[in-house]
Amino acid sequence: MLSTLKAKFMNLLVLYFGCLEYKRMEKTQEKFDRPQLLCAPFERKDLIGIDLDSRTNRKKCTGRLKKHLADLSLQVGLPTDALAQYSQAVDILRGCNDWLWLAACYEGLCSTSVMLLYPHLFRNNVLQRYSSLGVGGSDSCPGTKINPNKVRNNPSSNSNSLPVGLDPSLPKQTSKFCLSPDDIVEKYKEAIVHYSKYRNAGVIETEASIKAVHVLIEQKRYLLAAEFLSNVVFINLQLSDEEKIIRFNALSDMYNQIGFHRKAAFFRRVAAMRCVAPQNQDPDWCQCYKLLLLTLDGYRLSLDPALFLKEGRPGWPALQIQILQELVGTSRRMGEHGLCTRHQAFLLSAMLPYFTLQEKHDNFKMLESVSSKCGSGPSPLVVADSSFIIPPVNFPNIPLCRYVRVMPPSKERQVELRDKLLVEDPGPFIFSPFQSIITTSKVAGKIDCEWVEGDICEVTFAFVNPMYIQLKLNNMMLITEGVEFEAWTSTVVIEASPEAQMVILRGRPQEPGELRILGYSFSLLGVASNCKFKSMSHLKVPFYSLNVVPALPCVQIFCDSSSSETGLVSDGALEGESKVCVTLNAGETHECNIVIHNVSSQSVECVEVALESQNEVEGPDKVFQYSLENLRAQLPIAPGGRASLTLYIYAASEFLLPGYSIEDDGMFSLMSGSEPPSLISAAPSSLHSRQSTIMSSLRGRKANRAHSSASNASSKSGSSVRSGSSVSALAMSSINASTPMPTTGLCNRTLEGLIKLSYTGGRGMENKYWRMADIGISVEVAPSLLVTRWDALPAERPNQCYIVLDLLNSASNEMDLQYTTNKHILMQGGESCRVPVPVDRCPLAKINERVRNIRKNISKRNADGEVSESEILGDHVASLVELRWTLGPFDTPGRASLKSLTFPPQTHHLITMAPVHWDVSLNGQRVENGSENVGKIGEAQRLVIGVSNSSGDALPPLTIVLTAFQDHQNGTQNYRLEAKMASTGATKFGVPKLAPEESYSHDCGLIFFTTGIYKIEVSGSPSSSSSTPYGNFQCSSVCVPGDHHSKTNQHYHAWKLAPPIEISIVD
Amino acid sequence: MAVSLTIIGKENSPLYIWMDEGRDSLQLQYLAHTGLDVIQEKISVGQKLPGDSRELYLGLLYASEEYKIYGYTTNSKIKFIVITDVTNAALRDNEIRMMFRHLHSIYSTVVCNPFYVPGEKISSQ
Repeated sequence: MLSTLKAKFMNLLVLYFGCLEYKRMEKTQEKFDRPQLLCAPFERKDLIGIDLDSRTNRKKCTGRLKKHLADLSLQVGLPTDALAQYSQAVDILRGCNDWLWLAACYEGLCSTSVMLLYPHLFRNNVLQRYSSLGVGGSDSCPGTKINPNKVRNNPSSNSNSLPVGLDPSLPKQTSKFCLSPDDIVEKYKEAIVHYSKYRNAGVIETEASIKAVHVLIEQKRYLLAAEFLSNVVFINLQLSDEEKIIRFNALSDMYNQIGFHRKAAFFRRVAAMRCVAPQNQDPDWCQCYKLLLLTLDGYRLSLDPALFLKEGRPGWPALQIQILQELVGTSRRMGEHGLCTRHQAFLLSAMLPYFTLQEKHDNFKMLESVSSKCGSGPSPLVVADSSFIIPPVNFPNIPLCRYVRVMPPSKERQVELRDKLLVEDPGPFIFSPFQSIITTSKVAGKIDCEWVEGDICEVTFAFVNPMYIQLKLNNMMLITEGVEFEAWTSTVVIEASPEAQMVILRGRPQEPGELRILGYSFSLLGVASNCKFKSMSHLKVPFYSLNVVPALPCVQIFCDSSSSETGLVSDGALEGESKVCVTLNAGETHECNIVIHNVSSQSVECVEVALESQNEVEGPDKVFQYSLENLRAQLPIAPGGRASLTLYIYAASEFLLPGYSIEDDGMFSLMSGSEPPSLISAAPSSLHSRQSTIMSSLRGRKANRAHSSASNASSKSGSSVRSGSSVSALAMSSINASTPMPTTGLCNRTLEGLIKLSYTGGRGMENKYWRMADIGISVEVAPSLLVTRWDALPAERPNQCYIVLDLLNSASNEMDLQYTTNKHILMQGGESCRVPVPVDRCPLAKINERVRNIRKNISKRNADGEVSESEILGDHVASLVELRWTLGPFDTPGRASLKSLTFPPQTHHLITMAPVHWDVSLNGQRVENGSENVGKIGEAQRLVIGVSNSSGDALPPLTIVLTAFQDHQNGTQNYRLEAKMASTGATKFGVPKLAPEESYSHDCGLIFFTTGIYKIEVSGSPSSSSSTPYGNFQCSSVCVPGDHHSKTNQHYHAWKLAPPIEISIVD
Repeated sequence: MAVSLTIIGKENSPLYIWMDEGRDSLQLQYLAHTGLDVIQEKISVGQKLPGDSRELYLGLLYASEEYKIYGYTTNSKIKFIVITDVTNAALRDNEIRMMFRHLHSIYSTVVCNPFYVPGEKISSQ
């Protein structure tokens, strides 16, 4: 079929060629003397009244005939002949002012030259079958419509395709008539000028112009081409509306070819407007719309909002707005409401920065009205009968998102990964200069927090309303990628205020893994909008990614308020972190019940409790105590179930306030009374009598103290405190001097504790994720009992001593203080009193053992030896003395221990057990403390003195002296008993070195000559031969450094039997 | 007197537009906008001769039936376009040239303002 068509077509061409060739041959042989005047159709009426036989007319005929011949030569493929003939014709016609035909000759000359010079020109387009949209119906110029992508720099590859088979270089050499490229343009110009002289030659003029443009494009002289083209615009043609549209379209194509896209767009738009011009009887909105779409590129407008906004594509806003408004209008007239809404939405979104407030409002109203007919979905729209695709429009700037916060879970829902294996390997380098690079190259948008599967998660957006109109965003939700995420929609109203407004979007991750938050979607006025972060350049992050961990249980932790009766406040509901506040008196113990409520759907399978305390010197476990085992026994906590943890709170406080009343004179007397060398008659009654004076002096001084605490401090430092106790006292006084209100124990203080409960369960437990719950406990400690001063006094019993305490009830309520098992005292608020507490003396063995332990640890620091000694004694006392009381109207119980009590070295021997134990019997009867011994005059009283070593070390040899005196019971004592008494056996004897637990016994007899009450003192001291003073337990240890003794050397030590043996001698 | 004056930025977006009152603003903007085509073409020709200090004044870009469009470009590719009436014979080429020079110096002062970010819209007081 095709082959026959082809054959027939070839046949036709051959016939056609034969015809032309015949015509040419005929014309060549025609006589030039009487040629017929050839003329254009519109010229015929001009011929009337012209002398046909004039010389000019004859010349004209000849010239025109020559031109016709040239045309024929060209048509049969003889360009060289044609060139020569055209040139001749030009010469002839120029002489007779035949401008129209002269122009035609020029045009022919140019065309032929172009054919020879640019043989490839249009070759590849000639065969295009659809290509004949010639301007003005001119069929002689095919290929005016050129594929736009071949606009510039048309590849001139296919040369030498001239059908006549001529070598292109040949005519140039052979034909002197061939024009140079510049001449071609010149001649075209001339031809066009001549054409323009004829009103009817518009079509030919246009044609010539366009040919010239094509030549200029080939010559790459675009500016000149533009001039020719702009000339075309001015040519006035009588055309139908349709033809005009075609003409403008063609112009636009031409401009595109020379690279003048703006001009092309301009004419395209003119063509589009022509389609729907008011005078147009049959407006074609659809064509107008398509033509308008074609202009977009020239205005640098892309309908893809992401692309348009992202690149910040430069353009001419006023013109862009115009074209978009025309698109909106046209699509509406077409009845394509979907497209209309989309264009209006794009207009609003893309051109927002260029709108005035009023324009914003107008466009918003417009969108409201068009979208009421048809909304705009999220999918691209295809324009009917064309390949145009209108992408969906989003509103990334209405409202404008200022910033995005991916919210970590609330504090009690945060998770923690406990897997030691996952600890990051920092590499073998301690410092690497690449570290900073590595850290900065972290993936942008990676959020360092974890969401938990099944938990409600939040993202906060800050939106700014650029419209100053209330915006109602429907179905607003997050757009995510990665693991399955249940995004919850919400309807958000952005108020018409210029401030940023916070919007929270929530959702629930459905499975563990990596979740990427890409953006958010909403619908505004029926326009569905998917706003991705990557299209918002100001956010700088293409997406946010975070990790979703497997489901974990979640508990609420609070204090069971039913168990508390005193000022216990639990305000966990508000802050997320629950806190318990308790007010307690110092020394009081409180019990509170902490309830762990599982509010999640997972059961709690594992629990750990940790205690944290910020400001404690004492350490939290002294204040807070709980039983973890008890809690663990309640596991697992089923969903909705509860478990409880009992917490014991002890209001720990510093009960000792040394130096608080250090200038107390009464205490000095007390202390001087305990000076070692003098014999002490331990009389509790006398102590009590003294106490009253001390009390009064204490009270009196309280007033003084109120005057100035500074004088208090200065008097302290100036006072002649005994060197032993001055260590702590001076330290204390210096503190007092620096702080004007040294009242650590007097004002309320707060103990803060934090109970950290970490728990896990469910699938999260397999992945080693834990959750934490905190409950803060704040204990306000009100002062209760203070020990202002203390001292040690000998007691009646040799194995005991009295610890005398000055107590101050600093609470405002009455206190019933129990200081020993069976003694208690009532103290009013603010009152102080002095109580003696009998304490078992500290066995030396215990001390020595402790000292050795300490020595081992601190071998060189000798000075610490004594301090540690007093500490040991303090500990000993503290372990034995416990003060208990009930306070206030509720009889709140309290207790205090005297920890960190220290004693000056002078009192150490009182607290420590004496190394010598006396075992005295008279007449075979054991002499007990206070036992009455009665003897007769003249009878020998047999006295057995037993000495045993009760210390842990060997005792050196001792010298024991018995001294008898007569007590007149009136304060005078008579030591001169030479005439009243005689002794059998030595009253002064030596005791050999005694090993531990070893004892020695001495026997002697006493005979009294007169009646009366006699007393016998028994005192032992190290033998004078022994150079070692033996006042201290340190002496017994061999390896004590010398300077250690220097202090104790000053004291002369002796052990006495107390009280002295009393014998009443009767007749 | 010119009819319109436009300053166009490097990326071919207008920085400043002034229109004589009473004129069809959109038409004039279309003219200026299409004039950019010619300017671009002229600049690209100029770029082929590096080192050659180009004449900044580009002369008449094109003429429509009513208006003449003149162009001028700075070395930093800021373009000025002035539109005059075709009938206005008072404005010769030399006057237009002076007008552009003046405009260029005014633009330089604008750019010298430390608070002006190049590429932003310019507003006239």
